Amino acid sequence: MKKKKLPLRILLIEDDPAHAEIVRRNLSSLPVSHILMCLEDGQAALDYLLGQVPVAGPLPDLILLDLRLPKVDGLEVLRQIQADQSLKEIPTVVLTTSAADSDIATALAIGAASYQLKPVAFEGFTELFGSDFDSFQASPHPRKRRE
Amino acid sequence: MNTKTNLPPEPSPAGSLREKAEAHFRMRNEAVPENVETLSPEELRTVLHELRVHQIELEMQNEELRHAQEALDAARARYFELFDLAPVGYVTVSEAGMILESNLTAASLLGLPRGELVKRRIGSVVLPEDQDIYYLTRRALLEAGHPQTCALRLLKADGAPIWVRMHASLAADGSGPILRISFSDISEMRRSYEQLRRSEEIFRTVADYTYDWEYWQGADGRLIYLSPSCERITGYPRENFLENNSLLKAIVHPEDAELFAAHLSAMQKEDSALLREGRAAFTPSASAPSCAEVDFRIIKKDGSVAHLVHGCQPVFDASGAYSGRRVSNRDATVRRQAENALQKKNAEMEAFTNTVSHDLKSPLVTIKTFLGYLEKDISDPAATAKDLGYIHDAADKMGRLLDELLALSRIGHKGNVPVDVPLQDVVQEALRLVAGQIAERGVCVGITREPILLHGDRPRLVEAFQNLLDNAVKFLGDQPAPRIEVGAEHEGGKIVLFVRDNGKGIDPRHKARLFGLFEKLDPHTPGSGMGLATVRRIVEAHGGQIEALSDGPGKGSTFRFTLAETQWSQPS
Repeated sequence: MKKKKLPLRILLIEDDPAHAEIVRRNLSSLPVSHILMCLEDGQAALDYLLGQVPVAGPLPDLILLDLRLPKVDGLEVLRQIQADQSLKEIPTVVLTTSAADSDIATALAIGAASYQLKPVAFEGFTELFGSDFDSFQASPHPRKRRE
Repeated sequence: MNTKTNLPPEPSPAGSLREKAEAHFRMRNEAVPENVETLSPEELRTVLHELRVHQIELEMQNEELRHAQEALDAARARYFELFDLAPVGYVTVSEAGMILESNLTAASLLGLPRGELVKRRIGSVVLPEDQDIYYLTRRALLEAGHPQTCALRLLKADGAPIWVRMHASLAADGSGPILRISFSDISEMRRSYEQLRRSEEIFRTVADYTYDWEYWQGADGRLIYLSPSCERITGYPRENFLENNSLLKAIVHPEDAELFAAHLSAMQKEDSALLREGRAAFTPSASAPSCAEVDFRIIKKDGSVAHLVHGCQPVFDASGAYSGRRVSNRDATVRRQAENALQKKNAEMEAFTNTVSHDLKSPLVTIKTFLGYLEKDISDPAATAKDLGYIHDAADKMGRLLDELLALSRIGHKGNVPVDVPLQDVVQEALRLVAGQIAERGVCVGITREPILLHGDRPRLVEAFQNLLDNAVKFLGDQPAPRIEVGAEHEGGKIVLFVRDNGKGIDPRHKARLFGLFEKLDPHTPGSGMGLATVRRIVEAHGGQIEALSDGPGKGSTFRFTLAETQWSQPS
């Protein structure tokens, strides 16, 4: 018997509006209505996560991170997330088209929860969000934003 | 008479000796006593006795003389042998150069009967090429008076030369000085000497003409041998290294000094065991410090930098005792530079491939995925239009990327004919292309008046400056008095061109990505993200390098670059 899932707060850091739309559509097709927030560049994501900009509500339960981002590169965003005691608790999934060995190795070494290549097929995304995605459970207690 | 027969044999006839004695007797006037008849028998007996004793005395004296003569004959024979059969050739030569006497050895040395050697001129038995040596020795002997020695070749009767050591001293007979000359055969010695000389020449040729810089440092640290090729590699002649034992250490590049010092101390550590135990303490293996090559740079006499590959292995003498190190320094400058350039190119190539695959895959992901949505949404016109919009945008983006990629790959391949063109002409042309943005933003542009001549593909050079100016204008930020300066400065014998602005500056985090492909570090600025990548391609295609400097956000930025063959033109 599958445990009933709680809706997740998901932060998508993605500069390509088409890809953001794909993620949004995939999430809305899931039985649980997750909450998606999208930021377009690495700097905006860090400002938000590190509390530089006033945002109401708790921190996300899951981060979907593209690597090639304007202003601050995805790997640098990941590095700063992992350097922060409370942010490193959030599973960060790298979602990118970069299949470079160095990117994969670096991302996993820094602390990415998983590394997902954006599939070049329609069904790919549905599979990605339908199976692997299940493993990212909502935390029972929403994380507190830093003071 | 009895007494007479007892006399020793005389060289002269016995009769004449008797007559001489009779004559003597008569001259002495000692007449036989007249009164012999009157002598008593007693007196006669006494006289007779006296005569007998005399006779015996004479006989004894004669015997002694005969013995003395025999001893003399034996001595003469011995000295004859000593002289004739001595192991050295011996001749006496008159002042005029005539051979007066010769021993047998001298005659047999020259292959001549002794009789033929004597009365010949000494010059006739000396090899013509060595006559000078003989005459110089002779002159020195006559002038100085004390014995002289030299080595020269004599001419044998069969025409073959023979190496001898000649020793000459001076004697005199009544008529003038006589040269006493001895010759010893040194052919064997000369042959060994020749062999040694040839072998020395072989080893010297091998050592002195080595291409790499080779040396042998003794166990005491002093240089025993150094190949002249050190000058080709370092600019310093051999003497400099021989005079100054620490010159090598002194010319090691400061950044490699620590590495070299570590190598030296590893060698010293090994040295102590080698000195103690000799060859037994050394096992050639990959892990032995001696067997490891060390790479370091040196600063040559002319100030340039050379990469050396340094190997030093211990050497041992025939008894196995440690006798220092044989060192080889190979100049790997050209190879190292090529390797570095290749490595850089490979890294660029990999980054390029990654970027291209990533950037082209992104729109593909969009197209494929939205085609999937399109199939589902086909009955809903509003949704269909939305899906198609995404597909169109992605396809357009892909087309743009491919066009730009193609344009970039053309740089440096199908170029225009290289020309000489003044910097100012290129900058003015680039300025006309960005005049709109410049005027709109009210930018003050300054261009150097230095007479600088560029050489290259003119339209590409214009494109590079156009991109740099365009980039500068885009990132001026909210600077109230925007200014862009194009100039040039001397640096290390090169001319460095620069485009400097007082705009937003560069975030240090972005520096690494600045010249990358499709890098739009600020998504809100216009452009494809290919501008600086294009500039770098053009600069590199012209044999130059580019770097971006900035003191940080808000402090302006400077793009500095070189172009090979840039020169200060002489004002005509």
